[in-house]
Amino acid sequence: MRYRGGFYLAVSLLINALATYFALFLTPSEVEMGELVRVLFFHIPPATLCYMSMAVSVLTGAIFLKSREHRHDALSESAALLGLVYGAVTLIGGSIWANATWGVYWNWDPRETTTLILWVAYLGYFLLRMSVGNPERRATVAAAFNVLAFMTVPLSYLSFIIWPSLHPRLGSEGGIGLTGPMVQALLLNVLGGLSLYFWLFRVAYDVRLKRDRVEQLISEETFHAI
Amino acid sequence: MPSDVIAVLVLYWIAIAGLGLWLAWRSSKLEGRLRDLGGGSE
Repeated sequence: MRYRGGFYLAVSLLINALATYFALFLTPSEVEMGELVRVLFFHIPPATLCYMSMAVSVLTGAIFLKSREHRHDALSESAALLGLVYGAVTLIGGSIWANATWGVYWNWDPRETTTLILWVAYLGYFLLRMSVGNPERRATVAAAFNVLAFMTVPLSYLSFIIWPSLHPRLGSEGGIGLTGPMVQALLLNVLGGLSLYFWLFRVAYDVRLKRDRVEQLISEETFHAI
Repeated sequence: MPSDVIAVLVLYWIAIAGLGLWLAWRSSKLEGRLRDLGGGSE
């Protein structure tokens, strides 16, 4: 089992190395942005994985509310953790790109602002989890909060359609024009990011199950001591 | 290659590697705790 996990990680890292090489050296530059367009190969994958992770988190959280099975809460928490990390990468990477193209790291653009709101909402999800001691109640409160927090995901995704924004759009008029090799490089980077995501998700879920087991054993020990 | 492209690439990999290493560290700590408590490993 350990060997298969290691083999999967090695294949995933190989895909990512190829994707990075493709993005940096085998794709042409873009007319408007020039070489800076290459940032998108390392910005779109974490942004997509952030949205996807939050969708997995809210879905498994909603399933928990119906099933009351703790493995669903464990899946939900693991997905939210990964979403939070990918969200931070999206925000910081995006601000580096913003500084290079707009001249400022942060200008409260609707896309930046709504993505920050998303990130803060899921930070709140973890603070809420930490504030509730009872595992059953913690899982229920977190799943309910998750439904509210998830509303920030479509808000972030659709923000540049709802409000006027400087954030570039792919393929649209006045947006970033992607040629064939650029699309291939982007898809390869998304695939590489996704393969690594699955590995991280599996490890995060395992950690959560081990933590549950430790908590259970400690509470049993405490019960027997009384 | 613009330094901003490299900065975003490095940031991405530091975050992913950092998360992976942190999870591996947590996992080994919890395994040790489980052994101490007599619960074995999953």
